[in-house]
Amino acid sequence: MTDHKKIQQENERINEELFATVTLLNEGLEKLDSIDSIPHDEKWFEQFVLMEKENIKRKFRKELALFVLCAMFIISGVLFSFFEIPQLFFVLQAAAIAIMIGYGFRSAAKRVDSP
Amino acid sequence: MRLINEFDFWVVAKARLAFMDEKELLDSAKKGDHRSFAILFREHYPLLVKYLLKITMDPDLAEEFAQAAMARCVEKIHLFKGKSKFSSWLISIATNLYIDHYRKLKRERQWSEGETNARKLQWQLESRNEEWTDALAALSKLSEEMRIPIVLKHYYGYSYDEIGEILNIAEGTAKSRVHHGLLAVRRELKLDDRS
Repeated sequence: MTDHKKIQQENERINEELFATVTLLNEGLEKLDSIDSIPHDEKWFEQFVLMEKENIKRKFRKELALFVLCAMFIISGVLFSFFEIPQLFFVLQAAAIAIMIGYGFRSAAKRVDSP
Repeated sequence: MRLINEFDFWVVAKARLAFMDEKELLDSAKKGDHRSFAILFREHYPLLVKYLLKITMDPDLAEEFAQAAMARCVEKIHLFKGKSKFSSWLISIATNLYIDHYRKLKRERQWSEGETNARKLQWQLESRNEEWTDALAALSKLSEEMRIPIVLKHYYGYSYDEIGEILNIAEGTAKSRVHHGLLAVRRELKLDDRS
């Protein structure tokens, strides 16, 4: 018997064994289908959707309020430093530009290094 | 008179919704119609729970994740482009929610939970005079990484490519997990010793 034929027979045997395992698994899984989910009527689903939409709206409003608060805090800080301590304002601006350039170079170097 | 007209309007609207096909219902749901959502969910909820039961092996978790998947679906419906079936999309959302939960549990080292869930399911099945087979016991002992692809491939008939998309893994990884999962089931069932 050639090696090729031996390998083919071995593969066929493995496939048959796996097929038998799949059959056993599927027989077991079919039994699980006999367990029914809790029945809900259309009204329940409608209520569920309406409640979820309300939750989404509430979440959006909360996130928007947080965003506006953060924006106001940053803007008031910037305006305060600009009018009251202009030196600090320019130092902060320079630091922000330096950080952005540094971050840009680091990202570019990472891209070049990656395979 | 006005009340009767309003009642008639809702009856006609409901009847019209009942005859809409899935695509029309999805379009309507995307526009914000909660009744279309309700019809879609009513149709797909049993399938979703039964799928989740097979991958979680826990009836309570299955219901919980089916509802979490529906909630996520309401939030993300605008992202559904209709390339796959709506049921596949729901299955994909539910699977990823469950995987996130499982990873979190793994981090918290709550290993014993899986075994307790399977025992609960075994009891529920046996109370219906159905047998808890050795194959089910072996499947329940597999890790989620192997169990989910096996169920998707061999029970629901998804291709390796589709399984890869659902689980965010490569097609080859899905194939390898199914193969090694089946070998693990055979080892658990001691089938290799018999043959």
